[in-house]
Amino acid sequence: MKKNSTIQVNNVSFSYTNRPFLEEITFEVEHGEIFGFLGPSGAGKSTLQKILTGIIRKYNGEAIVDGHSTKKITDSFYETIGVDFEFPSLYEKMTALQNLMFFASLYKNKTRNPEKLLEQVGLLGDKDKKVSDFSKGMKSRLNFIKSLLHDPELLFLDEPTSGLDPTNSRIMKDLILEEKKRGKTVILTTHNMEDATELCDRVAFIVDGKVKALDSPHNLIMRKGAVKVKYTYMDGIERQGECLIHEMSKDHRLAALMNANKITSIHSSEPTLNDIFIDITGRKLA
Amino acid sequence: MRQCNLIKGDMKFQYKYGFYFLYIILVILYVFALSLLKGVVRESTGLVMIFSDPATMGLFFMGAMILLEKSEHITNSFAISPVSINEYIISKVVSIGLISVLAGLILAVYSVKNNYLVTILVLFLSSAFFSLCGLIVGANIRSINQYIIATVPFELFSFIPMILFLVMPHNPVLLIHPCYAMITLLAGQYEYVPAAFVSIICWIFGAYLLAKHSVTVMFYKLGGVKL
Repeated sequence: MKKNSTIQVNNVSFSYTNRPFLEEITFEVEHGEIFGFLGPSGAGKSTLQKILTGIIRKYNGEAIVDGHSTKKITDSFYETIGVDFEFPSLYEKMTALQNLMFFASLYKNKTRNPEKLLEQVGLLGDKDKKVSDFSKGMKSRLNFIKSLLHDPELLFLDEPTSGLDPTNSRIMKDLILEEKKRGKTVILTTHNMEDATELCDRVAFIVDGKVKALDSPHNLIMRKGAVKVKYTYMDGIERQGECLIHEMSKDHRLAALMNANKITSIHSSEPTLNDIFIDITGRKLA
Repeated sequence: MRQCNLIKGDMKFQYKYGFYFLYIILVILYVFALSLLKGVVRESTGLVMIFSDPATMGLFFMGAMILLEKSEHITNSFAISPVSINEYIISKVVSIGLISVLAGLILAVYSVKNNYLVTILVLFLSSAFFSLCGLIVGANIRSINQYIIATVPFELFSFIPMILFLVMPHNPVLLIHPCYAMITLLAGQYEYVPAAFVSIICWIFGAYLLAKHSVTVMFYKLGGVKL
């Protein structure tokens, strides 16, 4: 195990039917990293998260989280991790503050100030409102800060932006990046390739219970697709040209057009993580 | 400390969902009905009321609590918290037990008037037994309809002894059935107090083991229900 690793997973396999759910999964997550699990529904992402959070303990191989094998963890393990489920897990008839106060009271460690957390996500003015009166975005933000109450070193986030409008999605992503700045390690499970590209230091593509690729989003994109430069220029009418970015110096027409200031537009285009996912796995994200 | 906070949390949950309100109304109605009766009829009716409602309320209330928690995905939060399964179960059993004791004691004051210490103990233990039964059922089902069907065998198991008690009120062999033991103690028949308590406690222990297994499986599944 690397000195700086928070999570080490070695040859983890799991199944409760004849069909394997996870097959020989191996990876490490370093401290302070945002690590993404990407894959379609039923790929095994949630099962893997259940293994890492100690919900599933009967599996083959070894999963070590924060120095503990998840097969043998005790209840105190949950003082050090925070989990934000895809669906809010809140008492609907209690207020936002009552929910946070109750869940904070379950931890031995000193907890973060619930009102400050509410302020951070713009919900301080709604602290005395029942959760049942909250919108989906408000519930998601409240659920997220619930997982931060005990100031965990390791955060598991399941589809944190799922179903949120662009504004709420932006707020959520900024909150995740803020936790990274505070030195926390984040495990992100998502379908959303744009979120993964923006947030994750590294991602693992999981399909049919196997890790098909693992690298930084940038490296994955660069590994598969060469960046193209597309440009337009005036030659009586507007025309278009293109070349590979590493062959720009060989494109004499481009050089001539630049010298003559005839370029009207120029931009690079690279494949998205979604294109790379389809290319590597042959599957689309549902 | 965490155990106290959990119990307080469950009581708040029960209050918010109207469990207390419902029981205040029911106790007022029961007391009113008892006030219309006199003598042995009042005592017998009071005994039936105490056993069939406050003592056994856990069977229904626990199911309601678990289904509501599942529908709000609260069980997911407990599964990944430092709360142990023992703490989770004890909290629910104690919080429901308090309502049982309070409601049952009020009815006992208006009817059977037996040794109140024994009555309180039996009410709490009966409530704990039925709450654990409710937890076993609630942890394994996903809808109210399933719950109603799944509790039928428990209801039959629980209420047959009441008939047996009317026919054979002093049969020590029947104390092996926890509900028979509960009824004899609530009725003030103290000839076999140790045997009755041993029977009830043994059944509670068995129900606790089953409830613990059911909650463990429920936490492993992690999912909600639709009400």
